[in-house]
This record gives sequence, C-alpha cells and structure tokens, in this order.
Amino acid sequence: MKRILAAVDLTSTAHLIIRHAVELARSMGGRVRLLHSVVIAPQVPPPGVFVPLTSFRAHELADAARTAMESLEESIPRELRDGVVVEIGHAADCVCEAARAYDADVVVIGAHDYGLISRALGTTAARIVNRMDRPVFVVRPMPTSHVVEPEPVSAKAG
Amino acid sequence: MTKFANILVPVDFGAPSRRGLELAVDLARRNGARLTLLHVFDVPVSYAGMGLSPTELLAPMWDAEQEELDRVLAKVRDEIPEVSRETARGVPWREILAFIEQRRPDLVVMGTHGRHGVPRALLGSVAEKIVRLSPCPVLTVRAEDEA
Repeated sequence: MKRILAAVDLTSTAHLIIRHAVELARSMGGRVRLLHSVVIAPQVPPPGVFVPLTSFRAHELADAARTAMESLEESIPRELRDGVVVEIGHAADCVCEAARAYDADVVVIGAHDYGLISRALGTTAARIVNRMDRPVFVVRPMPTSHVVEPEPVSAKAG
Repeated sequence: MTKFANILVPVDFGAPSRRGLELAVDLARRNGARLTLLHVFDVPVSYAGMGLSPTELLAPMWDAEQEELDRVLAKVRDEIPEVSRETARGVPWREILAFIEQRRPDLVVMGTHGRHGVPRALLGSVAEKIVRLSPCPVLTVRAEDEA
C-alpha cells in the first residue's frame, strides 16, 4: 500500500490538495494521511504586557487544528483514510520530518495561487521541494477560467 | 475518466530524468493515461558565435538525441501504448513551459537533482523553474542515487 502524505494549511486550498491526494491514492493504490503544522510566531510583547506561554497557545491551536483536520478528513473516502497528524513547528520542517516518519511514498503540498503576480512558489513549498528526499506533488490553485471541477470527493465518501 | 488522463514527462536522458520517467510510466499505466515525452534540444551556448555551420555541428547532436528519444519511446511503448514523443529546440525550461501552456496536461512529472549535500542548493534549474511557473500540478522526484 502506498502512503500519501497531504500537507494542508486549513485554507480553501486544502480541499484541492485533498482531491489530488485522493486521486493519487486511488491511482497508486494507497491511503492518505493529512498533516497540518501549527506555527508559533515569535513575538516580542510590548513592555508591561503579559503574554501567556506560547507553548500553551500552540497546544490550544493544535487542538483546534486537529478538530478542523478531522472535519476535513471526512471528505476523504473512508477506505482511503490513514489518519490525521498535527505538529507544532515550522511548516517545512514539520512536513519533511512527518514524511520521513510516515515513510511517505508521495507528499502533496500546495503552492500559491496561479496568477500573473503570484506564480512564484511559496517559500515554504520551495523549501519542502528542495529538501524532501521523496516525490513531491505540487498542487497549484488555478483561476476559475482554467478549472475543470472534478467530482466532489465528499460525494464518494464512504 | 481518470483525473490524470494526460501526463507530460520532460526527458533529457540524465539520471533524474530516468527516475521521473519511471514514475510517470507507473502513473500512466495505473491510470490508463496518455503519456507524452518531451525532449528539448538545448543548443550549447558555447557553440554560438563560433562561426561554424550549425548543420555541421548541431545536426549530428540533434540526430543522436532523436535516436535516443526513439529508443526510450520504444521501451516505454511496451508498457504504455498511448505514448508519444515531442521535440523542441531552445532553452529547456522555456520550451517545456510553453508546451505545458499550450497542451495543458493534467500532470507534469519532473526528475530533480536534489541537494548534492549543499544545504541551500536548489532543484535542478529546469525543474525548479517548471515547479515555480507551471500552471499544472507538478510531481517532482529525485534520482534514487541522490535521495
């Protein structure tokens, strides 16, 4: 069985990434594991302002993300699901580490929107592609005029 | 109907390209997809301005690459009947990107060089540009000996 790791960022791109991951799982005979990383943004608080420990907030964010991810996972046909993982840390590091830990056969990630200005690969996506020691499937959201909507995955979910 | 009905795989006969081709063939076979091999004849810059006849210098190289492409095509055709080959001349990434824009494949499979142990080295320059600029999904794969 092939292992497809889909790194999603809980934006609208997540659905597109999952669709492609599901298609890969179908065509390769595998399952899809969803990964989301919670980033802790380093911030210097103003003098006199109390800021809770970032680790506390990160875990709260991770819990919320896990709930959202489990909801996303429901759009994957049951027989193709292989769990949800939420990691705390920088996205590129988390994705590369998770891919190795899962021994993924393919990692699916999203790039920036396709447009005249934003055709460049995002920094995180570029780091992942450059560092990953296994195949990376880069999904790129297309403008509406270029998109042929596939059958919604949720309609096939078991 | 499968989603990956048309798969494009640029080939340059190097190790990363062979790895990309293997993966593309596997995906095409599993999907019953049409596979297109694209080879871009990269005119060596160092030959420009040498005052030599292009036919004398470049024609044998072009012929040799055509033969190699035919050999690869014949090998792939054993597994994928719906395979075709296309050629272009020019700067590889520009020609590949132009082909993608024109034909709109469902998937592009690119072999990459990997890091070669240099921490911040990027993908092979061609693969990097395609990943950055392609309007279609791109599947990158490293050559096995570099993984």
